[in-house]
Amino acid sequence: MAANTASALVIPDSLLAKEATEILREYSTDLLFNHSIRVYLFAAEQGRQQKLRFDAELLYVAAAFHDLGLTKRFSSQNERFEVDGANAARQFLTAHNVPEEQVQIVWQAIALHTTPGITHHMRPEVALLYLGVGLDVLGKGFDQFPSEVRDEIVARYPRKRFKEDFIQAYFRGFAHKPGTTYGTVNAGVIERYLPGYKFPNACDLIAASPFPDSE
Amino acid sequence: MSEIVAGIRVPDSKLAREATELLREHGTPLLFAHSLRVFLFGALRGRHRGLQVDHELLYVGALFHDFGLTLKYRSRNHRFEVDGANAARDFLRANGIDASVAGVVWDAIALHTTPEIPWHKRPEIALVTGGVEADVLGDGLDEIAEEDRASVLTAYPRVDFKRGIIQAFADGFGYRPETTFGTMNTDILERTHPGFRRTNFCDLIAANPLGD
Repeated sequence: MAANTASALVIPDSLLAKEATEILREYSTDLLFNHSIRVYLFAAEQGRQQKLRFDAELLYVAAAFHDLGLTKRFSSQNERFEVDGANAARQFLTAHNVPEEQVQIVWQAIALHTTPGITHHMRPEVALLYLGVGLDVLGKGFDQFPSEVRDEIVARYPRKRFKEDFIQAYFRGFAHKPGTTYGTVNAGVIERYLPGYKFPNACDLIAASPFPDSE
Repeated sequence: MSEIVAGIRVPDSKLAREATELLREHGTPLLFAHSLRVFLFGALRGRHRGLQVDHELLYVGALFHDFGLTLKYRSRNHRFEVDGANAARDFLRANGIDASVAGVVWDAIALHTTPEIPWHKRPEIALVTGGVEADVLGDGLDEIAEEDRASVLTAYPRVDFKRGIIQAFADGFGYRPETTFGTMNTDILERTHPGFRRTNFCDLIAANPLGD
């Protein structure tokens, strides 16, 4: 058991991983830093439990960059924040001469980390990032996750006022482009925190399509 | 002799013809015409954008994209998009198509209702969504010349489409409402299934058993 928990706290320490950590520390907050590291540790532990073969370094870079699209440095005016983070990771990995196929995996993992029901059919790194986020943010898989490993991860990277502060940081990360959350889980955040903002309903969009039915 | 609509040749390889037959057998007339239009509008938008597109893959993606709404291919607990994606992958693999190629079609179908993401991926993936968005929402019609649009509609008319497609969605995933969480498909259920209430992400965060 002790060996198990010790390995649960290991973070990749390649040059690439260290640089990703530095970028995460420089551009994000303590809240997002600790969240991102927990996401990696939760994800990697679930990968080991499910006996998945995954590239720990790629998973780590994906976790480190997954919320950077919420930050001033990487946020765009009109793309989903997930795409901003994915693009930032792509730029980082390409600059480090990582092969395109692996860059794609990280891009996809970040771009789809809020899309339900798709990622568990994809590559382990893509599936695991979603699971790591799901456990830290929503508690998905809480009952199956070993509690002593969980306690150790949370002790090292605490969830201080996490629920409230995370929603606030999350909202601020895309409040300037609420339309990009339409049709995603993030629409729920805009609905709660941007009173008066009105999303379309797909039925109305279909009815209002400039494309008429045939005679 | 192959069919040409708006300058686009409708694929008629053995693979394409089998896909067409499956759609005719298991889809409805509404889904049949819709799926053909999705292919044609996707191909036309690809031509407008000067993209290199594998039309056979785009065709299989377009024809299977709503298979997850059909009685034959729908599951109890997957998103309908995933059911269609799985059906297309099984079909392609059974026809000896490489796993990586089948994976492109899987992504194209699985992501066809996920905003923005497909546009950053391969043309065949982007254009299944591009065809769907044009036919269902009227997006990107400026990329399709008036007379091309008319040719497509003559070949595959939009008969009672606006009402009919909403009904097809409602029937296709209304019995598994939880699979629509976090997608625009919740809009359909909100209108067509009285009593359906969409889950708010903030409430899920608050209910996380992992405390602060």
